[in-house]
Amino acid sequence: MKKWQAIIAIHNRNMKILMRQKQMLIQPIIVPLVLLFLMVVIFGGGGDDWPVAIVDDSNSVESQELMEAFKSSASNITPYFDLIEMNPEEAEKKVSEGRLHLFIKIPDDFVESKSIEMKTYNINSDAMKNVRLRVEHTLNNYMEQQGELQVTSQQVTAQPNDVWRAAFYGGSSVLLTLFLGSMIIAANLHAFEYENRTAKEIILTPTGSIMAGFGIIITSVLVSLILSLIPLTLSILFLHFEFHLYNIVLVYLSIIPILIGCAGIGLLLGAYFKQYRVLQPLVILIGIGTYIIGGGFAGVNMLMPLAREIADIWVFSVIFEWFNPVLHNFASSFSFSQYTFIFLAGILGFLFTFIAYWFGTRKSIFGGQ
Amino acid sequence: MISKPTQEEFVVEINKADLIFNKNNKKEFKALEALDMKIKSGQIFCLLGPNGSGKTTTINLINGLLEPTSGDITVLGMNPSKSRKTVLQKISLVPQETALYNDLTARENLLFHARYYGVNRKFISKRIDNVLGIVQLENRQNDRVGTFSGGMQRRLALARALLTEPEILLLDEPTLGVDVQSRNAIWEQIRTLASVGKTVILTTNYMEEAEELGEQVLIIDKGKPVASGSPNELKRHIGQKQMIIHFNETKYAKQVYDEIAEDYEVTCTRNQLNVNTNALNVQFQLLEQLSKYEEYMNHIEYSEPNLQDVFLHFTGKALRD
Amino acid sequence: MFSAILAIVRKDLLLVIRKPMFSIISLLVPLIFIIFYALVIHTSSTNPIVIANHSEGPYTDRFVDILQEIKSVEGSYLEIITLDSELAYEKYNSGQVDALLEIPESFEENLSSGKQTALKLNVFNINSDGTKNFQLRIDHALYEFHKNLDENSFITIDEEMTFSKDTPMKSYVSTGLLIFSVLLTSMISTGTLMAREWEERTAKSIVLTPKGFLPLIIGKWMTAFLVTALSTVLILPLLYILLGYPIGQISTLVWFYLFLFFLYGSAAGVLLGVLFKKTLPIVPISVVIAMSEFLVSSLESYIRGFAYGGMTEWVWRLGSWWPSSEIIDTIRFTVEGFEQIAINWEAFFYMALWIALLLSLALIKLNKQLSFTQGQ
Repeated sequence: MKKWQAIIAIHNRNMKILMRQKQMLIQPIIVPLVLLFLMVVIFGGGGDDWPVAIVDDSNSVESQELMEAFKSSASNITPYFDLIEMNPEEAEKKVSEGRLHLFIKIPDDFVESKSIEMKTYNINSDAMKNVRLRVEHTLNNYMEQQGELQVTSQQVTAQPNDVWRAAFYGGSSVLLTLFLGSMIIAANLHAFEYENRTAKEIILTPTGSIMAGFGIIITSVLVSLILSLIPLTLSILFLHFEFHLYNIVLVYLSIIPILIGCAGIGLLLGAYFKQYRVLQPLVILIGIGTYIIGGGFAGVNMLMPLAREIADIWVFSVIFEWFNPVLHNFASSFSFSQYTFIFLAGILGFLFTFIAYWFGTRKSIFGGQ
Repeated sequence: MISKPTQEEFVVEINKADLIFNKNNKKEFKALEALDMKIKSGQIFCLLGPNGSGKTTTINLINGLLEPTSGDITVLGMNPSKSRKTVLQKISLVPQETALYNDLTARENLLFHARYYGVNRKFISKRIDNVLGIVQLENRQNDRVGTFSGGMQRRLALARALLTEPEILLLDEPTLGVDVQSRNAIWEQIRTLASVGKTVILTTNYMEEAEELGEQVLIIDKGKPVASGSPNELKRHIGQKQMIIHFNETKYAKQVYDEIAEDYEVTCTRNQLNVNTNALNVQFQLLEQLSKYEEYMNHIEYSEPNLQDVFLHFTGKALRD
Repeated sequence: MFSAILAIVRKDLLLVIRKPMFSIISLLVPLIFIIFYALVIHTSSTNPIVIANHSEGPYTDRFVDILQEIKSVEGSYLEIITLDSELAYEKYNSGQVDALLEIPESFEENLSSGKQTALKLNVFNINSDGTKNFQLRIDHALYEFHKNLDENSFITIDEEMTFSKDTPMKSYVSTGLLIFSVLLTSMISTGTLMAREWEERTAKSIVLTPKGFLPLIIGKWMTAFLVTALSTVLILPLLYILLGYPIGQISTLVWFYLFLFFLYGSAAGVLLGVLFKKTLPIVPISVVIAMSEFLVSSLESYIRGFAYGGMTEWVWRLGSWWPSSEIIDTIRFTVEGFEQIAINWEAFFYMALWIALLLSLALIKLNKQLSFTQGQ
């Protein structure tokens, strides 16, 4: 009973500290949101439509059909082209300035030559991959319609609808807020004791310092769960994130042990490094690193061989690799071995707490002041 | 040129200085009001006041970090906020927070400060040895400041202030949180400095310190000066001496009280009578009158007012935040 | 003045040596960021796939060859993990790979007899980007395959390029990463060096010397310069090894621009330092600023081509107004050897103005702060 009182007291104190020391809350909010915002803006949160200029000089039946093929070619989520310029002079100008990457001209002798002209602003290979491959895709479609394509491809997807890239980033940012949040809040709160020299008071309470650790774990897990609602709401509102209530509840409940594990790691780091200015970049780095390499940016399967191997070793990647499919309804539950691992992560969190405080008590020899 | 005589006489002169933060604003706050201060060269001047009374603010006026909203301030004949650089060459501050680098050794701290301040290279090493000697930290000069006690840190901060051979030393709470030995050492060092002609201005909220060191004491409260003078003058100002007569039993004290209450300014507490009296003849008269009670009397003592009485007299007894 | 600056530098370096952890971390952050980026940037060029091939014969062989050969200047479009059908199904079904291409048994026979064949592309479509990338790559393979199959009905493309060659995305991004690292290191080191004087309550003894705070700022800049130079020296070979960045082409002009970015970063650092007086918020804010410069300014010339409507256009407009983006492109084109551009005076002028603005704000704040230095 007394112990619970102590834990709750610590938790209440922590909540007050967090409300007053707003910098502590800013990081777990800002880092995932900024990452999300930039990813969506830079890597295309909208669809797959690429702005383009097309001019038809041929004006033949064939060229009009090709024109239609350009307009109708599409990925699973949106058209492939966004035709924004049909004036040849303007198109020429825009491509040379880089305001457009691609200008397609169907020449007047198209019917005879069976050739189209293309002007590109080849600023980098990524842009060129995107425009050239789209054009070829369209030409394939066109030739297929003309009955001149002997081999076609037919797509079979695992789920009827693609998860929009933006929605995928959104889901990852929810998961990032959860695990980065619990880790960094725990680390900050633990370091707070050192930075404010209140550690002694905690150590000398009869209930023992470990209760402070459990209090910090409660705060960190609770606060990170609350904070993660921000990217979740934004994703649902703006990023085509499909809301599956059952899946979300399952994710939020099942991730709690992992969050306890992360908070434990935060405490351990806090006990070892003690100073915010060492802790924070370290934890943020772990968070962003995991996001990038552990399946937050793109599934681990899509990464290069070396990155896949690192992700296999980097245990935090399970957060994205296991929880993203459930979040987006590609899986309806976790496997038994996954649950076992999740449970163990929670146990480890408590173990880390013991180590952190044992370590802390042994190390803290205070001088006069 | 400014007229010489006053300049030489008073190294610091503050006339009717007001300092108002956030003027013409809802949060307007009078930090200092009608502050008058005149400090002679070579004097130990003591600013006494409770926490938050404006002592550090006054120090910041002198070193030019703050400018009075109205009134004048001259330090060594100059306006400290206008000619801050010149003034700062002649004054040194030991701030409350000591401002030392914990991860540097004592010597490295002094070395950095001397270099930053621009002390001539040739003299740096010698002068560091010298100031370390004054504050008796030669033996610990190569230890990191983080390992020092509060008293040692304050002494080192004093040494740092001396590095630049200032004419005026500003000490902001020089013995805050320091043990008795260190405190006595610091007092001794301050006296030595004054004896070689340095002007020392210190703030404190310890009565003993003001009484021990202050040749001139200014008591301020809530930003207003409430009394000034030498410790003796101040005591004399409120100064009733008291004769305290202790009886064997309370009933005798009561009995005597009834007898003399009409003629003297007296109070009775249990077996003790306190008689306020300064005049010697009145004391003799009273003793004579009381001689018949000699067998019921324990002893007689005299008490003089101390600075604490003065302080409480002027600042009131209410607890401060 | 000079001796005062030197005193600050010596003291700060000594403190760095005594407690090196923080400096090591601020050096490591950009290094690790580059390594991370190098690891994921592959995703845009090469996608892992498994192929279940049920067909045999010359057509099949040619098609499989094409699947293996298709590439951009950066590398293969497809990383074919296996051609063994059994393994392919196993890997796809167990979720170890996100795409499986099935070449049906009838492939060879249909081609020989002029009948149409449909390949089956199975995709785990949890990210529309991946789905699209697989579709486009298989289409590219098919387009290449048909080139030699039926020349009469095949539609060719005649391409005119603005630049003589495509800049590999890795190299394109490397310039941005270099700027990111210079900005971040200079900002964090200057910012924390400044903030520490307040955090450790040592500022007063410095401010109250007749030297004032100008030598303080310059001293911090010099220390930060040493740290930034060190980190740049570490990062350049990394960019060369991991991302093939042509560091041999770095000219004096490029060094000059890098120095300009150092000044920008350390001016921002000084401002952050005096604004917060705590190291705590400086690191994340610096990361956000440097990251935004990387993603918005350094990618501006790429984003320009697709920024139509919505947030992207606004971000691009911001980036196109900002002097950084033009300077970064100048560095990029110089390094890629496209053109030897002289100093871009306009961008240089605005950048200098920006640095001056940051610095004056810091000085104003410093002056204001002094007048409120309270006792406790």
